[in-house]
Amino acid sequence: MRVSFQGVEVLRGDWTLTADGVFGEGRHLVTGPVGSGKSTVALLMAGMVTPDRGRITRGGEGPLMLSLPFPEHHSTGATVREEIASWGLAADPVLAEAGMLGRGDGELHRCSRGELKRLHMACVLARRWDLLLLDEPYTALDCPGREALSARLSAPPAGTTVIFTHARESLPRVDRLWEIREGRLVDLGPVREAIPLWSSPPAYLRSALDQGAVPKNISVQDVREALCRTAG
Amino acid sequence: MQDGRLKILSATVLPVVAFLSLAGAVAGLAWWLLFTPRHRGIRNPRAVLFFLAILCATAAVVQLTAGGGIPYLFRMTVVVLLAAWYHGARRSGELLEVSVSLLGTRKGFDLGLAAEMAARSLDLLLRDLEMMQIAWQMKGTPRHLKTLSPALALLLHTQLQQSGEQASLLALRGYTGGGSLCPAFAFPRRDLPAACSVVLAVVLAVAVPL
Repeated sequence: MRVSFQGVEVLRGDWTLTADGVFGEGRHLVTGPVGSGKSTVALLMAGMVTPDRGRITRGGEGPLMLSLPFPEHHSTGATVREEIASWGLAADPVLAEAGMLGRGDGELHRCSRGELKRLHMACVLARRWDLLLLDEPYTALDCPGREALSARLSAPPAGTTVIFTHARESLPRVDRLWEIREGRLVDLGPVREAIPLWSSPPAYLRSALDQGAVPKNISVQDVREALCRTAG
Repeated sequence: MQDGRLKILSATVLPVVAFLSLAGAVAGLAWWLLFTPRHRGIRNPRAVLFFLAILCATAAVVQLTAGGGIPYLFRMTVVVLLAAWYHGARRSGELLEVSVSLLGTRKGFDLGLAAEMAARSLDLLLRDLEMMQIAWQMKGTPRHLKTLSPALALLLHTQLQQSGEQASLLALRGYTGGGSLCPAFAFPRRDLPAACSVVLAVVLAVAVPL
């Protein structure tokens, strides 16, 4: 599904956000500091917020999902199994994916936020979406959880996936990079050309770039490989 | 309206006056129309409409059974409008400042801190409810009791957990009770008519007991 922003402006008192550009098929990463407007862009793309100026068009009418930062906002089941069923999914594969095998009958409110997030992400990623918007998908996850999610998100997507995050520790392979700079959504372009233009890359990527490495993508694995090639 | 003391005074006294008598409710409504940004000052119109819908249903039952439903609806509508105004007009830290200035740095501080935390929780709860509506729309979840009750239970549980964590954090920082704060208030001249009108509303409610 293609989503295009044409002269979009959102005004909230002194704060403004402007956006132009097209999100085509593939994986996109939108970064920016906390409060820069990433969630607003996600809500605009999902049609949950109307821009004050400009137009947003979505090509295609396939299924759309906006995953919000806090998993409890999506929860509607009393138990883990009921929650999985509320997504129209079979319990066992999702429980295995979330690392919660044997916990199906547990009450949802007894789960930690990290467990809820793992469960939520497993449910979201078990279904196919034409447009998948992941707002802060790494929130509440520990390091192994973040790495596992990055690996999962690095698999080729079927439609358009947009990841909105300020996380720095682990990022998935993506096709295109975007950045919010001083209230403007900037399309940095395809990932290889975009990396040198990225004003706030994660520390591991910045360090590799400083050493002269040229990573093919932004995941830790890609950066490691680039460093090995440089050391050669 | 700038002065936090006047805002809290109005938000406390006017609803009481409006609830006690019809004349007080008329005065409260007039005050809301004259001294607040009216509908533009309401931060969450949906929540206000929800409360008004419940009031209408209650008033209809009262009217059909015992009578007096319509005056009740009018008085309570004014109470809701005043509450909605204060919710939108409240500035963070205001409750603590007013409480300390009235009751001192011991009891006043504790009471003000509790009020600030409660107000913040209410804001978070409203934001959570907004996000839940979006999430449910995305998920295609029908809104009925079977899905609503576990979701609200989880939300309540999360709120209680956050409150517990906040209390632990305060204890960890050495908070045992009371605190130092030197609140300063500005009372611009343009707030004077609003303040006088609050007093007038009280006088009217007492003098015309309808």
